[in-house]
Amino acid sequence: MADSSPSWRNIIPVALHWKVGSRHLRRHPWLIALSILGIALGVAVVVAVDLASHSARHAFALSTEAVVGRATHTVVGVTGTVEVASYQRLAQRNATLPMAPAVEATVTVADHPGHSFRLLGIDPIAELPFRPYLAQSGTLDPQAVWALAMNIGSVLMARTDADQLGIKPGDRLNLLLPNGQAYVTVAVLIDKASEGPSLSGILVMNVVGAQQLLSLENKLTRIDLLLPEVIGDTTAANQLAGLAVVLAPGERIEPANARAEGYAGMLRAFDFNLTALSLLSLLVGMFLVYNTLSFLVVQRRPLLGTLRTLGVTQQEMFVGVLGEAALLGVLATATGLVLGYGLAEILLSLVTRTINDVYFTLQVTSLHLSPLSFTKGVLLGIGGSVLATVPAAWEAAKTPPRRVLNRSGAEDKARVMAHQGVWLGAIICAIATVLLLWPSHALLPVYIGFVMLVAGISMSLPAFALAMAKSMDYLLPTRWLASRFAVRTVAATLSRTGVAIMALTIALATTVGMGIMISSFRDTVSTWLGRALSADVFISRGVAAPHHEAVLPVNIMSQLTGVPGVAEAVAWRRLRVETEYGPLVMSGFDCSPRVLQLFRLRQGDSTMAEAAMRDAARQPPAVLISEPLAYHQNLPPTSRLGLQTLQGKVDFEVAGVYQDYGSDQGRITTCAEVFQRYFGEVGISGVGVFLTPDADAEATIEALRALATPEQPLWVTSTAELRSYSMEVFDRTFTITAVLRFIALAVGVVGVAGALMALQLERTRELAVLRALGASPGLVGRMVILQTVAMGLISGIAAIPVGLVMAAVLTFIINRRAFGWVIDFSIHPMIFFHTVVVALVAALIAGIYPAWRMAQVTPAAALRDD
Amino acid sequence: MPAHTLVQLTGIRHSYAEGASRRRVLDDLELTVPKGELLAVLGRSGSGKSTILNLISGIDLPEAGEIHLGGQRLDQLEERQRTGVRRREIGFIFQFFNLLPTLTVAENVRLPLQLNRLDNADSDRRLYQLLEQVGLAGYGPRYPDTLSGGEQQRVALARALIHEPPLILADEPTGNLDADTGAQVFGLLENLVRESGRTLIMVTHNTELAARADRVLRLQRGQLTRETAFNATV
Repeated sequence: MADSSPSWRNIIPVALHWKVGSRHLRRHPWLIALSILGIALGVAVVVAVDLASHSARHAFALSTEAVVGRATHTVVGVTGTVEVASYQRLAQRNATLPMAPAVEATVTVADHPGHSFRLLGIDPIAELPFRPYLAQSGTLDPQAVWALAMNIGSVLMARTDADQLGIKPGDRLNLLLPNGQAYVTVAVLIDKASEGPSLSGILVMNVVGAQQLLSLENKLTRIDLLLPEVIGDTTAANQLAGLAVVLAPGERIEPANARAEGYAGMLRAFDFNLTALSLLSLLVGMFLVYNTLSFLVVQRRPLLGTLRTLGVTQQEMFVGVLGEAALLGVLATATGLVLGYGLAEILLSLVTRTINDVYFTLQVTSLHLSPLSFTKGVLLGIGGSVLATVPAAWEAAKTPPRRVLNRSGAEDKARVMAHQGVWLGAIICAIATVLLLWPSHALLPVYIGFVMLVAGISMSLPAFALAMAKSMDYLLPTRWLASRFAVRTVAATLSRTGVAIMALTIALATTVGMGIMISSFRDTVSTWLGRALSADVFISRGVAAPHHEAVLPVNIMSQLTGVPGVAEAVAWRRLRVETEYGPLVMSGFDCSPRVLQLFRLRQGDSTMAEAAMRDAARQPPAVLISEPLAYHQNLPPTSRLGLQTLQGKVDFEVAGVYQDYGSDQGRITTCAEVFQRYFGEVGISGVGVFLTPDADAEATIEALRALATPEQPLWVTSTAELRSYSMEVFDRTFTITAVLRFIALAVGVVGVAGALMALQLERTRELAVLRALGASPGLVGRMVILQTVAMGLISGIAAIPVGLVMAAVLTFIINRRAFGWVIDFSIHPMIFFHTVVVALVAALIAGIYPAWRMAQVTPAAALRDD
Repeated sequence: MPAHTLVQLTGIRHSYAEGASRRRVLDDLELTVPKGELLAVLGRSGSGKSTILNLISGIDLPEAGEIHLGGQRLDQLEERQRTGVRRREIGFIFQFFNLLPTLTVAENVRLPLQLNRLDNADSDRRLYQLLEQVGLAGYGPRYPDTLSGGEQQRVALARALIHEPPLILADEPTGNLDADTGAQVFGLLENLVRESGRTLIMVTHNTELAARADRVLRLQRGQLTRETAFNATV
């Protein structure tokens, strides 16, 4: 009696549907291929961005884990160093507590530019409880490892890094240090243990050797502590308080992972933006999925109508169509995951470069395959395909068989929906506007608002396409048969062309929006650099090492003033300070009126701010902070900002908020006197040199460069060079954006190509009639091309206002919320021209194959097939 | 080819692929159609009737044999040249009307003129005159999907005649119409063709229509034979 059960009754018609439907699709493999490619590209971008970001975070976590080891707490100092004497006092205070001194700095291998390492100086005897993995060297005797490590001037490094750089044990490495350069010998290569963190990106050496290399006499970077795990909070607090009393001024104990979390937090906005960009590509991909799967339904209306007439129920039809979508989704997702892995390899280098340029030094050698990234891809690919098909499946199931068989019914409905879409889109846009303008600093609502805005605008695009096609038809001369035929077809087949135009418009608008945002940002940064870099020459330790760690020779100022042509030299000191909002860069400038003028205040009175800044005895002391910090932490002028200083935590008053694009975390600036009072003499980080009016700039720069020695290298650069370098970094930062924009556009082109192919397939008979009436293959091909050009033109024109809206939201709302920057909107009119050209070229590319294919159609065969 | 002959097919062989094998539909077929004749071709479904029209119009090429149309050896022409001949010399009428849905009635009818670059000030007059002749005066701005089957086929007639081709090819011109409408449409076609002295080659199943032709041929086993029963009545 199995045949009478409801489940069997359902399966047979669905299986019949699949059999009939799949045979139809097998006859059009290109349609399947384009559908799979469209969905796969969307999945690939999301998976690639996620994998690249995840790999960078994973590398950072591993590197931090390797450096921090099992330490529970760390003693750190406000100036970045702690006294060796503090270590000795701590040991005397609690002889049984495991503690280890450490010296850490970022170094670059001179022969391998771009390869930075974290140099970690350790005490091999005190070390074992903290980083036991250092002794797990595989085949090597741990004793030998340590014996070698005891040699000052020798380093241990990961075998993977050594292999990558072609380094063997015994080789000498020329290291670029924050304070100069020096040679070290590679003593031992460490194999990665089966468990535990990798040493990749780390050079381990004796702490004494590291102190010597980094000129840190009697100083350490930190002291690691291993407090017992099972102790009550009160006991732990008491123990910490007991230890803290022996520390020097400015030193404190903090949880070992506090600093790492601060660094990781820097990437949050960057990660978020990358994810948002990838989701934009997915949105375009989803349009394609919807487009393609709608096609599959629309194109097979007679087939589905026949099945319905023969007795397939609505539910069976719905399940059958969704099943097809799921199958396509599975195939496309599998392709997307493979493509995503390949793309992630490219994105990883771009993400790593941006992190190195903008945030901190990080070496990421390989992709870390995260199951979560692949799961996201699978869910988006298969789930997205099924979701995108629901409307089409619903339509196929709900429409009466008589109407399913009637093609014009679909077009009537598409036209009605186009008009309804305008109203629905307007409502969605209104909700999106509320979300975007709602006074808040949260990022998620603006991203949701942005996606809703794009979706709302998209819904009105079919109506726009219809109006445009009708206007073009009206304006075209009667004799332009092919052109009029083309634009009429766009309007007459709106159920197919509408979504393709949506996909291409959104892809193009993304390009316009991102383009305007980036050019606005670039122009703003360029103008800002012109103002901020007003000195003629800049001197620092170099660009290879993070500048806040690099220190110039102590006598640099006296040397500079002796160089002919130098009118004035302005020094600054820079330090990464601990604030209640995480680590931030603080600078102390020589506060001449000339220097203070360089800070363009966005909030606060410049005269009052200048007076407050110059008053070294003022309580509370005054600082200027940059826009991102003021925005993210809600710190307007006169508010207080707590900083860890040599005198403990001190509240500083915000005297003004200045324009700055150097850091999205924000910066703090004060005058040299205040800086030295609270942070001591930390050494000069950089000098801006103003030349006399009659100075020969090139000769003076040469004279300044002559001050450098191999032991004390100086990076002397003209303003123009520094500006050019800064803009180069800026452009590098946006390379990844360019890649994602290109992919979004590629997805759009695939969409139009797919739409056209499906459309032309439907119109094969129509074009065959034309051929029978005497239209040449060339004319038929031209008609197809003209149709794609019409779609491209409509998309290109629509993309301009949509792109402008996207640019405004990205520039004024998203950039502001993500990074806290205020960007001046600047539009280069050529971008509009470029957009239309790109739209036409994309449409042409999408139309070439369909045009060629349709021109090849044999009228006899096409007419016979019907 | 004699001067009064418009179409001549000699030794035509043609076949279609059917899976791995080929099915021969025309086998040493011979046909001569004089100018001004109204010729009907009968035959069973799949016998190759439409293929004859496709060969005469240069849409298809024979595997063997010669096709002459108005003094030109059609089977030796390039595709581009054959398209040109079709554009100028032939008017097509299909069973399923095959009007272009995105063009209005007037634009559909005007299409052959535009393809032949003959669309000038005078063509409007000709267009509206023809629409009036087929009983569709005032239908110019309407779209095909707003017309009945009979009206659509009348538009197709007008489209086939507007550029005044010497030869009209009609493939089951009433096959998609009811008997009364079919008779009306064919009557119209017959009148227009005979009035202008054009040649009409029509393939059909409809023996009543065929009976009104000057000559009736039947396609059987790839060859045309004279249908005496019909021709006796002519």
